[in-house]
Amino acid sequence: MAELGNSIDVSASGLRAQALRMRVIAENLANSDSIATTAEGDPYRRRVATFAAEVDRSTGATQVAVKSIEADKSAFGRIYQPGNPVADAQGYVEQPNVNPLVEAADMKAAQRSYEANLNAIEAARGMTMRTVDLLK
Amino acid sequence: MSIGSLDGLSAYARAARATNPLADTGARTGGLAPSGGLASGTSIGGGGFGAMVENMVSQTGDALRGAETQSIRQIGGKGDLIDVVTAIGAAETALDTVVAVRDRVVSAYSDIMKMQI
Repeated sequence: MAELGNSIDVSASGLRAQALRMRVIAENLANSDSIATTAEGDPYRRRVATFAAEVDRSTGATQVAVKSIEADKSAFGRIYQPGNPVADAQGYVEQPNVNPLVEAADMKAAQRSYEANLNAIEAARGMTMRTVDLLK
Repeated sequence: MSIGSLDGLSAYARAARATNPLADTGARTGGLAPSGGLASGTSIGGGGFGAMVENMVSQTGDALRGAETQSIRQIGGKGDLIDVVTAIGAAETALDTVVAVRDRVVSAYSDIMKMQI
């Protein structure tokens, strides 16, 4: 039974990682219009969660963890808004490098991965229960 | 066909070793462990069947306590829903296993009590 229990723990680590990824996507979407507060400052910079395999020393099972949340280094967009208080000398305001379509695709990927981990938990639990049922 | 009582005892010994692999023979003598007769002569590890049941029940108790702690943290708004679900799942599995083993033991006991002498 121990291995099925470990596989549930591994899937739970996948759930946690995807939940954190979902939080980062939500932050990106929510801040897709957040411009700088001063003329010199930068607008919101898109962030991405990166994952890494991580061996759980007590069980030897390889779990997944969010390694870091990195900034997206792509260029900011610029729109002409001379009346904006944070516009530069030419009248342009820098916009966050968030593309809602990319975020939507990323969100679907996180959702599917979360569901896959849920299904793995369900299967492992079903296998455990079926084995216990042999005693009944 | 020679299925004797010793076969049954060695099956229980295997179950005891599976649920309590660390205990060595004679280290645990408390509880319901048989202290003589057939059991001492056979290869029952970990203090016998009573210790096995004791061990399983205490493990189940730990799992249930863990699930309860996680649930209380979740109600307080500090817990993680994933932790609650996995803890309750583990507790449910442990409880189901113990209940199934208990049912088996009770039915074996009543089979013996119904035996014609």
